[in-house]
Amino acid sequence: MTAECAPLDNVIRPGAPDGPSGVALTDLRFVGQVDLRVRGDGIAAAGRALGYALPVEANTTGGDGATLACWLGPDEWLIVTEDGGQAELIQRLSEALAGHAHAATDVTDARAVLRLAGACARPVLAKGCPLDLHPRSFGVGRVAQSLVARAQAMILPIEGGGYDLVVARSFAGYLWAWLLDAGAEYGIRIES
Amino acid sequence: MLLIPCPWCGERVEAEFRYGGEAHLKRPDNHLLCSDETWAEYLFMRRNPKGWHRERWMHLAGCKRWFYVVRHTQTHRIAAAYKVGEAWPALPA
Repeated sequence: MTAECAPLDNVIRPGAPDGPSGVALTDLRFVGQVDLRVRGDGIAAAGRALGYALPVEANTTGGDGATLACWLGPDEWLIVTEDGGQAELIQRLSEALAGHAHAATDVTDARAVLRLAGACARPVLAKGCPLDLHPRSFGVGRVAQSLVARAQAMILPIEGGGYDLVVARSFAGYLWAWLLDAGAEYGIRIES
Repeated sequence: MLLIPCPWCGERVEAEFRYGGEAHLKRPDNHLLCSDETWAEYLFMRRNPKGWHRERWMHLAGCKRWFYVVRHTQTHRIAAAYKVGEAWPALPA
C-alpha cells in the first residue's frame, strides 16, 4: 500500500556526477513483499496457489514474472510482487493453505529495496559484503541473506549485473549513504 | 575469520553468525526439585576443552537457524556442522 513517506524520502540525495558513472543507485520505494512461513505439505500447496513451485534449494528463487519467491530458509520465503498486489497474494495463499500451519505476512512497509546497477555494481557491493559475488556462483536466479556494510540484507542479483538490496527500513538511510560513499570512486549516479 | 558451513545456506563468514556456547547440555528434569549443585552445574559449568568441541551457532544474518558445529578450540578447524535432531558426527581423532 502506498504510504505518505517512503523509507528514503528524508535522506539528502546528491545530484548526478558530471563524468561517466560506473554504478547507479535507485530507491525502488514501494515493492510489495510477503513473508511466507510454511512447511511440509503446505509447500506444495503454496506452489499451486502461486502457479509455480516454491524454490526449496537453498539460496535460489522461483517465479513467473508476476511474483518472485526468494528462499530465506527451509520454511521461509519472501515473495515479491508489484506494490498493491500483496493483499491479494496473501488472500490467495491463505485460502490455499487453510488446514496447513502457515503465516503469510505483509512486510512491504518494513523493508526498503535499493537497486545497485551498472558495470561496477559488483566491486561496490564487494566492499561491504562477504559473499562470493562472482556471477558463476551468484547470478540471476540466486538470492542470499547476508551482511552489507554490517547491516543484515537480502541480496538479489538482477539482469544486467546489478543487485536489489532488501534491508530493514531503519537501515535504509545508512545503507544509502554507505553505497554513495562506496560508489564514489566509480562515479555513482542516482536514478529515480 | 572463521568460514562456517551453515547446514542450510552453505559456507558463510563468521560475522553472519552468533555463538551459542557448548552444545548438547541437558537441562535438569525438574529444576525446582533438583539440588543447587545440579542446577549450578547446568547453568555455569562448561567443559572448555582444548581440542574438539561441539558447540551451537545461529545463522543470524542468514536463515536464522540454530545448528551445531564441531570446532577445534586450538586450531579453529571446523570438522562438521549438523542440524538439530541429526545424528552427532564422530569427533576427529
